[in-house]
Amino acid sequence: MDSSTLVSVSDGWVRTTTLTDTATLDPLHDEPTPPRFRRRGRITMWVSGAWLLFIVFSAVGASFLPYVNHSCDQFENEDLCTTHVETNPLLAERPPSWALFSETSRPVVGDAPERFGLFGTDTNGYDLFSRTMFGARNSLLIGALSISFGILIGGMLGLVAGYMGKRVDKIIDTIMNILLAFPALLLAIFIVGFFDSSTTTEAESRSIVPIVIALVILSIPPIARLVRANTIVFAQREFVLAARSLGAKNSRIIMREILPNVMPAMVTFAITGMAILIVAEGALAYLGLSVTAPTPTWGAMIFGGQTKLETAWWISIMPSIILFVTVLAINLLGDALSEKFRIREAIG
Amino acid sequence: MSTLQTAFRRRTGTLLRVEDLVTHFVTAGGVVRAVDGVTFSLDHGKRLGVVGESGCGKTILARSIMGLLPHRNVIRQGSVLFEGTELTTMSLKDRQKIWGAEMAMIFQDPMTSLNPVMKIGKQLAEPLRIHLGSSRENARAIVLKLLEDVGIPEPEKRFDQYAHELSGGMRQRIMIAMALACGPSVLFADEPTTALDVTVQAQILDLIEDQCREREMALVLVTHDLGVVAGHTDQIIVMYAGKIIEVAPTASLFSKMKMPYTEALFQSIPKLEDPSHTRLTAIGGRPPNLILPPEGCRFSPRCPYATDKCRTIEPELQAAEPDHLYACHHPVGSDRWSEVQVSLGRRPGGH
Repeated sequence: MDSSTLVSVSDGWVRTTTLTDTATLDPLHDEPTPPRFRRRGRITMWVSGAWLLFIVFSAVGASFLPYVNHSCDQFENEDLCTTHVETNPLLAERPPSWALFSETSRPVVGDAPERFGLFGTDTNGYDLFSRTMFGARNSLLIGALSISFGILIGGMLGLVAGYMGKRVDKIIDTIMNILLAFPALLLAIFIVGFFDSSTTTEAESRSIVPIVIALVILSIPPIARLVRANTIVFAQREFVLAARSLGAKNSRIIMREILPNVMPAMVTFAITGMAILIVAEGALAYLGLSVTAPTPTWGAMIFGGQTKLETAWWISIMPSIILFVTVLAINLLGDALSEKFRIREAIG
Repeated sequence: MSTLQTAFRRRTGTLLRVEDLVTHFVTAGGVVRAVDGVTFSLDHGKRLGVVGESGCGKTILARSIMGLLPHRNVIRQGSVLFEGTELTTMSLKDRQKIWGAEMAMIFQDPMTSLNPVMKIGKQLAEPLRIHLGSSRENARAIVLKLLEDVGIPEPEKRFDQYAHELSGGMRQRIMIAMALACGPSVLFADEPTTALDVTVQAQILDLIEDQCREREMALVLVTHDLGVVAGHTDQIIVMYAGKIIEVAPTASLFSKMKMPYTEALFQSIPKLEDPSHTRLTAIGGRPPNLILPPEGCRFSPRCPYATDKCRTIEPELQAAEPDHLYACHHPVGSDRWSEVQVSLGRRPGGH
């Protein structure tokens, strides 16, 4: 390594300093090191994207994919099954095949396997991995549907409130405040319960409709608030006045001038919101208020396994891990996308 | 108005008549008298300059005429006749038909008056699609022609660009093209060059002037810069504290100005023949509070010629010549004016 000498003069003394680290010597001509966070950000984005792609792919294709072990009894539609696995009491509560540290709580009788499948089996002897993938279908569907309707209704209310202002704004704002004042979960329980009493009996499976409605209502106020705030900012911008001075009607200004500007905030929020709603569904399911067996959702599966935590931890833990990783991936992707979507403003 | 009517519409006579226009804002601090009884008229194809300090009501005047102001907490009176039609009582729907098609406006800051997420071409096509119902292909052809008219090189390329990809001067050209799209008969230019640098200012003003002449379009040029209106208008209105204090054809305003305020504005422009390091003459004091305007003449607290009469009696607009009105008790050239000039050590009669 080169060593060089710096000479400095002060107080009449000549001091020499020897530097061995050349990297610090010439800041002007050194190549600047590219900021590391960018690369890391990109990797995060790709990993989250890949995970979500896998989950969505598995959820959509759960009925056809070879890696999903189809034990038909757990699903309503038996025609979809390709591999038939008998519900076998001997298969019940078998730990995952890799979990060598886990004792099987049930005795191994005859040719019953000691460990079974990637995620193990649940109390009924159903393969947990396939159930988790079928559960992904319901959980993601509930999350996506709820956030879509939430964005649609909340976004519309926010745009109208923010742009029209005055009384319209006051009315919408009051309604949103009332909705926000309720504890979220309590409100959801109330809504699901409300639909329950009229349409379903205890034994029947609850459809996803009341859950989606409950989650939509939960998601509307924050979306409406966010969109309203953004709309107010953009409605005061000069390009809106310019559009008005060219004779554009209010509806046109909202749809063509303001909405595209509010869109990035909305999309970012939708992605994060979906993650929150998937968790919220899990919470509802944990309280026994989501879709009931035999339709699996992640929340319902976690709920189903909680009594067995001591003896068969995998029944709750495996779907929890999938839920956690998926929600994390959605959030990370949302962050990465919000960076990408940032609107380029005209700078002098 | 249909295209046929537009083609045959009258191109002479009075286009715009503003009578006793009042726009007051009701605020927590009191009533802001932004525009306080303004009367003027504008002929077809004429160029009118509106000059005054910041906060004297110029912009509000332009917006009041178009009817662009919000309804809430605004007191408005007076009348605006546009080609014989009363605008102040017109419904919003009817006004929207006039906006863009008959009267258009360009704004001060081209940085913020273009939508950042809409492509230039699409934005320019908006007025065409709103008013003429043009198809996409049709609008594209017209837009490309417009871009060429306002002097934008490579219109095909600009068509698909966003506002942030263009320079400030370019963006102002786009704004002008947008305002011109439907061939309005009057263009309000609200400080169109304030946000641009000086070399571009001249280009933009020339462009506006050329387009006005070519399209036989009237112009209302709102600015605080006497230099801007000097070369580009036929008539000038000088505003102070929400009122018109002097109206004159451009040439006679500069040669025979009557108002001490106009004189002060004029003196605050640096002149080429001044020796270097000459101190700029500034107008003392601050623009008046529009909530509690001074009694009498509103300029009196800052006017070197003010007397007790000025501080009690508000001067009315009076005619020096048929087309030259002013509102002053001691106009430039009066005895009081000469007296003060002498006491200030200036040579009366010369600027």
